[in-house]
Amino acid sequence: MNIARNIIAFSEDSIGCGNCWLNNFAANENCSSEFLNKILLNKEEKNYSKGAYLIKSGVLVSGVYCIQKGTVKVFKKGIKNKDFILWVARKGDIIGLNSFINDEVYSFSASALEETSACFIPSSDLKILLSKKPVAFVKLMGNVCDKLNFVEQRITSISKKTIKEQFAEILITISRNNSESDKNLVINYSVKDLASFVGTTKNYLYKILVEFTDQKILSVNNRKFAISNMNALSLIAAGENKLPK
Amino acid sequence: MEKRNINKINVPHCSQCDSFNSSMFCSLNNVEELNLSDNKVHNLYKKGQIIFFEGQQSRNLFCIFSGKVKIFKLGDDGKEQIVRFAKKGDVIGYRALLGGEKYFASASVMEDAMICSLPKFTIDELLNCNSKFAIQTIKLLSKDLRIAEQIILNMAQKPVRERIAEALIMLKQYYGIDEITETINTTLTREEIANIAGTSTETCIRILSEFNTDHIIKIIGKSIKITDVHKLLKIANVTE
Repeated sequence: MNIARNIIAFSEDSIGCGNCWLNNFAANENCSSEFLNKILLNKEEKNYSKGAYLIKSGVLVSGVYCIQKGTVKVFKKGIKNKDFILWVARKGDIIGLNSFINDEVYSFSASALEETSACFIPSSDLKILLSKKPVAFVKLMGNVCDKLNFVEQRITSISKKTIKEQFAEILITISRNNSESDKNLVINYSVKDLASFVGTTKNYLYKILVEFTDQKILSVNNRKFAISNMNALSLIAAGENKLPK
Repeated sequence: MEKRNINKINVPHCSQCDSFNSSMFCSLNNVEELNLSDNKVHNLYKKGQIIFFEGQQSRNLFCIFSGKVKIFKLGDDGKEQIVRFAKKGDVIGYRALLGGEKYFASASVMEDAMICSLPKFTIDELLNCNSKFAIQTIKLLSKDLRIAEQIILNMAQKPVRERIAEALIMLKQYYGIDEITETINTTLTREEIANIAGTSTETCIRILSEFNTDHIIKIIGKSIKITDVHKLLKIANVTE
């Protein structure tokens, strides 16, 4: 039974945990992938089509997801059931960590923005890993710290910046994370998603988009945005256009 | 006179501290606790004094023995946005310490505070040896994250009036109510309340006086008394 499980785990590994957070961790802490596979017996790779939910808020926590491929939006439902995107997870990111730590129900939802494959690690397995390798806690902390930094930065932007400045800021964040593969800084989000990221309405965001394209900061092509003038965009994000010249 | 008295207070050993059992250090054993106590230094911070600045390198963990502290970030225009409060028994600056990073926000004192600072190496030692302490820390972190996520959600979607009502409720829950005067047990300036809700001082003053005329709150000088909690909850649109 156990051997059979091990074989499954191995074959899954060959699918590619290369960028996985756990594998990075394993490499840094000198524990072999055999060691990881022995502990993470029940991890499974799942595929999601666009729009499919990985996590629904309010459901009991069953584990965490490591993203292998694709992008996933992590969002909350606000008043009047409006979505608000907290952050966007990419290859190598891990979702559900803070709900796992507090051991309650998921406090957010996550759904795929494009074709996504994710590796599901059940809570029980992760707990065993943590009890055998307490150093992993420090890694987890780093992960949660990064999220907190980002969220606190957003709090400040939301209260001190105009929607336009915030939108510019978010475009830059998205493109920065994309840039390794996309040279043209293409952003492949729907207007609705972008609006719920900034926390505004679709119509208003559309207006800003038109303004940006008129100023040749963005170019829109087939529902994809490309940033053509990064300097102008970062000036807007920094609120420079407000200052007297 | 009062300030001189605070100066004379000797901060006890961690094990004798009132908030020891409810703080993140509750899982420490005797030896670890003694080590912590031996290495800590306590200082008095006056109202308005900055404990640490955004961008500074972190060397200490701060644990609040008494007093009240606000943690804020500066916007591009130099205006502050309060992200969190801290009171007796809370620990601040732990995030930068854990990551060995620079401080991500600044902390300043709202009411004279006695603060113990614990050097980085003792905390690192604890993290490596005591897994319960590590769990405690990460739980604290994820709790902070959840609260911060809720704040951005509110800021993005709730109108100012709701946010100010919510800020008042938050302050009441966090700091409690003074037994004699029945006011919220902290004195914030109007500007600070505006900075919690993420609005301008003018709007904050206007909405607070609206609440005052509607008999939802009573403004007594700088302190605020909540007279109609149900109405305030309804305005704040709080589900919990």
